[in-house]
Amino acid sequence: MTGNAWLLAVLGAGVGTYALRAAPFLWRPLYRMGRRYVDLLTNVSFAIAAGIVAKSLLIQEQAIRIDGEFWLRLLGVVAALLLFRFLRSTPAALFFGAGAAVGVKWLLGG
Amino acid sequence: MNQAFRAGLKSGSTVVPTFIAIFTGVGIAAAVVGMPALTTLLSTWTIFAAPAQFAMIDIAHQSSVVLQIITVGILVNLRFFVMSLTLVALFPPLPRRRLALWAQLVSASSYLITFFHSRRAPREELFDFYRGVVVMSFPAAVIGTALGIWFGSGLPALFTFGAALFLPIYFSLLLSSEVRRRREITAVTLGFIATPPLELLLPGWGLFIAAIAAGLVVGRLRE
Repeated sequence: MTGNAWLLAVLGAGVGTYALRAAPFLWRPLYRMGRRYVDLLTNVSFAIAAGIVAKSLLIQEQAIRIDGEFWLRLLGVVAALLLFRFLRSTPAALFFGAGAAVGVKWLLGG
Repeated sequence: MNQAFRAGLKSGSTVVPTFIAIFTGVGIAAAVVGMPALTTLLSTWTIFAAPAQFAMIDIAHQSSVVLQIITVGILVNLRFFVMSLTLVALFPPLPRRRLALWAQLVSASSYLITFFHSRRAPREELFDFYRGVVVMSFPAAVIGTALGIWFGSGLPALFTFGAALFLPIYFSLLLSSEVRRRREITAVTLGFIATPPLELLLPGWGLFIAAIAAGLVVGRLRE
């Protein structure tokens, strides 16, 4: 693909994506719709957060992989949750969880 | 700088490492497929959605039809519509011109962090909080893209592995502290179980479809 073709593709997708993002804020009927379905959207939000966690833990290179790296990622999440339970500090738990997974991976030879 | 904005900056900082890691991947993939460096950076400014950027790069391996690449990018980003719809319900009434500017920076992270914050903060604070989150997270996406372009695949694997862990860990922490009611637990369980297989079946759509289905099922169960 030429540089101009890439530029066109990026600008086109950018404009389309902006329309999706901005429409509920700017178009009155959609604005009202958002307020009407708060309960549904709340449950959808929880499901999206859980889906992102599941996707990040399980999917690698477009396949569900329960391999060594999966267990390390799971270790990171569990370690963070355990520390959070005692300290109630999100940053501490976040760095502890990621650090634990990276540390074990490094000890196992990267 | 008010307190809500500062709280947003603080919450937004938790996803910075993940943003850098993910968008480093975008920069690397774009360089491999031959996208010019400035256009790659522009794609993060204008599209600001790694899954769509990856999908566009992926389809460019098979097709050079610009319209097809644009369509794929937009379709993968349909989830932003639902996210903005939710934010509309959370934010206080604001001038549309102001919202039009900040709408560009809606992402899964900025939307979810604001959503979780809305459960304990007054509605009047939420827009400033959201602005704080995106002011912190958006530059991380641009920096990550630049790192990917400049360093290519030379970054240590341990760095990318660790940085990519911040997002799932952060959302696990938010879920563990926020989910209390039975219907919320059901939505989380359904989203967790249904997303991976659906995402494999329909890449870029699975997360969105699983979440909508989970929301509808929970609504029906309540009735």
